[in-house]
Amino acid sequence: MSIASILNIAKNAVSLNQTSIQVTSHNISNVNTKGYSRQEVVITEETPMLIGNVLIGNGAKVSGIIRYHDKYLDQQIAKKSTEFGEHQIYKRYFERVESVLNEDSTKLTENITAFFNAWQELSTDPQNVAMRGGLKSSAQQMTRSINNIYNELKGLQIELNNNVKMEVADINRITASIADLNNKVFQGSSSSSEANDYLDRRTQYVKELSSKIGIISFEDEYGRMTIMTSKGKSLVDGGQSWELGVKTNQDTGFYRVGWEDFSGNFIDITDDINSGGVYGLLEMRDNQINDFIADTDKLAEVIISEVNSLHKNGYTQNHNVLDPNPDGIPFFRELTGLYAKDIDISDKIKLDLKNIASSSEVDITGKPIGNGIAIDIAALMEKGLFDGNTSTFVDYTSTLTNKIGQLTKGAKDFAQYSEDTMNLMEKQREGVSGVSLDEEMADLIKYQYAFQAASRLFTVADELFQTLLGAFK
Amino acid sequence: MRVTDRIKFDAFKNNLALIKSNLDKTQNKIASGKKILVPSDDPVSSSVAVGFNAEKGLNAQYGRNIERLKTTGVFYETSINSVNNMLTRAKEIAIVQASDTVNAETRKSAGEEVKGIIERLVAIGNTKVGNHYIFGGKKSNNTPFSIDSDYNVTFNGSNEVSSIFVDKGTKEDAGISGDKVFISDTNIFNVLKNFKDALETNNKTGIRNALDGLDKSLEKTQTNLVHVGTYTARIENFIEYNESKNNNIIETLSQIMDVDVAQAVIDFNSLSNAYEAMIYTMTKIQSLSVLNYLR
Repeated sequence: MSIASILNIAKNAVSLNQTSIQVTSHNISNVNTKGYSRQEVVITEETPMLIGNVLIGNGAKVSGIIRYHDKYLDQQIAKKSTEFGEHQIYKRYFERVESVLNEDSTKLTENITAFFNAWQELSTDPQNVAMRGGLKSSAQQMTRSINNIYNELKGLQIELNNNVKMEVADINRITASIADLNNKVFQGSSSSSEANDYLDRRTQYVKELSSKIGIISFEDEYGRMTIMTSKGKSLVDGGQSWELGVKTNQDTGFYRVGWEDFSGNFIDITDDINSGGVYGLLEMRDNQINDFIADTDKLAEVIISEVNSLHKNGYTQNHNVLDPNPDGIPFFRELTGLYAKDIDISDKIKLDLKNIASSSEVDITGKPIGNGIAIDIAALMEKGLFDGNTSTFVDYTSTLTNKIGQLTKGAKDFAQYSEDTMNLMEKQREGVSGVSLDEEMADLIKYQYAFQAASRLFTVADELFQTLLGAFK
Repeated sequence: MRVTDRIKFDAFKNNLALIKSNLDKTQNKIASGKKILVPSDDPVSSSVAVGFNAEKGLNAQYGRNIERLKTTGVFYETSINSVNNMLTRAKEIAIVQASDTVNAETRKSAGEEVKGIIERLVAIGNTKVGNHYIFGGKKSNNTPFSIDSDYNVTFNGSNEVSSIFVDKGTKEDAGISGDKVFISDTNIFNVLKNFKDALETNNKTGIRNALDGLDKSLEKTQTNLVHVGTYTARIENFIEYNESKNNNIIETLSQIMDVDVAQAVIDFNSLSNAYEAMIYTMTKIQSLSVLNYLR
């Protein structure tokens, strides 16, 4: 036991408290850092010295820096964020579809009603030119509102498609970062403050990745994170990451997602993706929006076919009096597909209002008389033409409103639910890992006093030396 | 539980966002006067509203159709009344001219008056409302009656009349055919033409026969007047029904879609209070810190 060892203890104590203050300031400065886990210096007793047959304490040392975190909770959060990411996509895009289909903006039902009303108007004065003009413009207004719905839905689909590509690029960025962090964790000493920060960042990346695509993740024996898709394709293994890619499907014009092996072979995994934001994008793009496009197509198809089949049986103002047969002029362009995209009045009607047929019969001179066709077409409004001839146009469009309303409401509710759950879990995580300034202040004071006391030890040791040296003068 | 600074701030932030979004929603409701802004607010009600709005548009069209029938209905009524008056005058002439005391000269001049009556009736038969001959039946664009120099009148219109919708699945005749008023059963023009010929040829038997025909014509016209009376009464009924239906639709739509403004304002106020309280609490919470007690 020597005075020198007191100095040594003092030196260790000062540096130890300094380290503690440094970690505390690190905590304070990261009070608002997302995903940060508070750290603490682990102080243990120094190995005691054996003097004679007595063990004497030999001060304290820093044995490591720990981070407060709950691994289980972090995993739960990552898992939950897969659901969260998917439902956020549904919410965002169903709300967009909703605004595309909202009667307040599309006026679809209103325009359909106005179209058939125009036929009624014509039925009251079948040869009236002004009323024919009115019918033409209301028909165009209706076809335009259907075209608009189609174009906007298609636009959404294209936007979703581009997002798939961007998300895939994002996934590659994240997996590369995780692989990089794996390397750093592996190389660094496991309990340094630096390593703790790497782990925090990696946890954040895993969470972010999980929100995009459902993954399986676990740590290997060296603390490196191994990540696979839910169907077992490796994304990160040790310091190595695998890239995902996209390829345009020639039939649909949309991207397929693939996994690239080391030789750069593209293996299509689109159908294997079954959760996360990317799945949400694919589901919206390939199923939900197509479904609404099909609904709009059906509507357009029925309008075209029903109106045309009646109209072609009618006599127009351009009817040749010598011809006993109806004029066979279609009111709408006759289409074989893409009804909603291309629905429009026929060229003949565009060219000449007289080509509108309001009469179903001719008199003995061969001139069209009466309002038979106008009244029959007007009557389509009340006819069951959908769902096995049980639903009218209005039934159909109001069902459409109900459908998108229910889907959007469901998506909003679910997104809210998963957001609430996320918030709750984040709060729990924050309770374990978050920085409390009050705590840090208390620690700061604690370490400051300890530092002052340790410094005092130097003075004491110094005085002891002085006394000793003075004795031999 | 350990409460960190972030938990406090996040809770504040989340709650503030929630209140703000609710405030925004309520504000929109008050501004638009509607409680359902997008279908997802209430999918069932909004789809019902789509149906009712269409119903409203359709009903308005039925209303316009009926108004049109009403306008022409008035013309039918006055026209057939005139026919009745003309025939009554013709009958008066016939009664006078059938007597033995009347000479050929007087009868001839009476014949002139009957000519005038025929011309007048043709003019009535060719009544036009807009570009629409009301007695043309389905051939409403052609002059229905034509007269030659011998006062032979031919009907070129259609015996049938078009019908138009006055309500869901209910059609009503758009008028009365000239055939029914002037030609069928008793051809008024033939009766008058024969009467005129008899007067011109001083044919007493012919005049007597014409009197018979005129009686039948008057009888028929009376029937038509009753017919037109019930027709206009029916239209009045349609108008009433159409209006009450429209009111019901508006009422229902309002119940489904319109916001209870008083309630919305109360909601808005309580949300504003919550908002202010929230901010106040935050300033208080912020001051709860060890930092305040450190020099």
